[in-house]
Amino acid sequence: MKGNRERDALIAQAIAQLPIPEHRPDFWAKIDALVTDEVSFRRQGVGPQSVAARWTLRAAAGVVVAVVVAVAIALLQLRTTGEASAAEVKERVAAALMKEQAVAGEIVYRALDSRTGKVETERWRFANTARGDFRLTVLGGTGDLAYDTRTGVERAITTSASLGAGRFYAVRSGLAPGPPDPGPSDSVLGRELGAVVRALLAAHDPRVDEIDYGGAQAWRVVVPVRPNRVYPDVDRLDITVDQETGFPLRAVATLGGHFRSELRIVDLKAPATLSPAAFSIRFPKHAEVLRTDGGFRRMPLDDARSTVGYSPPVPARIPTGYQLAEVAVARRAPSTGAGGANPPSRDVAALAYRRGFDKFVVTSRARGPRDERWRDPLGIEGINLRSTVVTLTRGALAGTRAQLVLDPRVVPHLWLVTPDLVITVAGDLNRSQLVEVVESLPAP
Amino acid sequence: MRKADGDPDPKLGPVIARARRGDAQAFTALLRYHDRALRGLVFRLIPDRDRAEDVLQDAYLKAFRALPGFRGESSLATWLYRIAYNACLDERRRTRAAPKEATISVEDLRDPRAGGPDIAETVVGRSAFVVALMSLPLEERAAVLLVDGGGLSYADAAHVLGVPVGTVASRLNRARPTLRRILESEGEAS
Repeated sequence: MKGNRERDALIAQAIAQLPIPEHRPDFWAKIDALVTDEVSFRRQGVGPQSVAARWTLRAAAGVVVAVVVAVAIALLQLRTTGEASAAEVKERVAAALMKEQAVAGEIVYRALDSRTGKVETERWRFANTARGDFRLTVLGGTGDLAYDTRTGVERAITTSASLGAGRFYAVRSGLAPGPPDPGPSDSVLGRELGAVVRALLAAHDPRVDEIDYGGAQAWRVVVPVRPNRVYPDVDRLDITVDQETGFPLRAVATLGGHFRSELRIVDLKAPATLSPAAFSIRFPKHAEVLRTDGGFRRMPLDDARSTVGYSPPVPARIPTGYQLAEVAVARRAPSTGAGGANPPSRDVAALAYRRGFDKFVVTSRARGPRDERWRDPLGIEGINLRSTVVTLTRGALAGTRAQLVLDPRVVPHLWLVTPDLVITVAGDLNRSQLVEVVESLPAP
Repeated sequence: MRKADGDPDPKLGPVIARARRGDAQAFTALLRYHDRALRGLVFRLIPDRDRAEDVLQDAYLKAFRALPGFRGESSLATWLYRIAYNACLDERRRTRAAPKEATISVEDLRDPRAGGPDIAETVVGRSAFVVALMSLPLEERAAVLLVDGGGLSYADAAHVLGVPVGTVASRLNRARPTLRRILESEGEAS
């Protein structure tokens, strides 16, 4: 054996006596599945370098972009303590977001399974457009999720414990364009990703440090989070953002210093082209499909009044670059708030504004009797969200008290109750922008 | 690793060719053939077993993606070692930038799997050696594991580590005295 004369026999013997841990029981099954997926991609002409082609097959997760966007927005609010100045962060992040119309990549997600105490790892391919379409595909497993903004329809293939090994096909139509009403699903990744982003937004004294991340210059942000009262889950988030692109590369959640989950975005690309077909999944001919309808219908703004019976409030001032992208209305919609505690939603109008990957939604819903009690439409069970009362000082709603909620657990939002409507503004806006948008609304 | 130091096992030639053409079964067969050696390297460079498993998964997936570009300039074993080692370096870069999830200790090498060997117990007489090995800087540990543990030549180890042969030699020269001292004292004690 070449080089054996250079080997230290004593050390070699000692190393040889050390046992080597076996793999996790599912290791080879996962490798087999990942490799089989890879072969499938190749057969469809989707090589690692074929970014444009990849679009047509494997796409993105809205939640991922939500994170990207929210991290970017959040960074605008950071008071930096490292070498990176807030202005520098803002400039880079804004530039990265404004120029990209689509992103795609691969996600590696590791999370502690509290039942087994083991860390489980999953991988997804994702693609996402600035219009809001997304696709998320589990690698090496069963799971495919696509949302088409043009139709407001989400299609999914997944497995269900109750169905055993069988596949489960679902179509969700009539989705709201965004919170507080149910929108495209983010159940696969949403909580961790959303929490990461929201933590940044709500943190009053975050830190930004410059670090080397895999040879690239990156910013690292660490923020505290309030754990859930019922199921303590996370109390600290550690997020790494690429300086060059402004995209988050890694987010680690811990509780009491112990690892809970980690999300990594790898192989992040900005494809130049995409096919709308990427955001629709074909089901087998005779598949049994579970269909649900959230009740929302897309329509021109001018038609919305006749559906809901009032003129949906349209802000006169919105942050630079935003444009009205979607109007969706519903005569009936699920109750909002923690545990759906609010009165039933009726005559809901949701106006979604977009700027690249940025999005915010102005939602109005009709009130019932005056003694109805409304709580935060984005409330979460088990968590006291950090909120402050803001008295509007300008515009048609001057003098109205509103609740401003900037908490790591939930998308930034401001909500208020008028004599006839409950209004919510939620999305990628900072405190002053939320107030500015609401103060520019007309009298209901 | 089998045939790590020289030409690829001729019996593997057709399997490698099939794997390069995208035959998933052929590829996983190759992985299984080399897995024990790669596992030995990665688990000792990344002591957190969950992370080590993820690193191996990363490395194996990267290897499959890169296999069409494998030109046989080194043995497949050396090529796989290099990918695995680079995956370990990537992992170290990531964990350096984040809170530690695990600390290196003999306890970390314990295999909790029912029926499996308990590493900490197995190496009870070698605990000082294990601690010393795991305390080496990653680059030096890798050199020891590849050359002394895996039987690679300095040249092959240099290819895996991406450094000149002289650097491999200097890393070994730094690492070996401590390990030898411990082993010799254990030998005297027994």
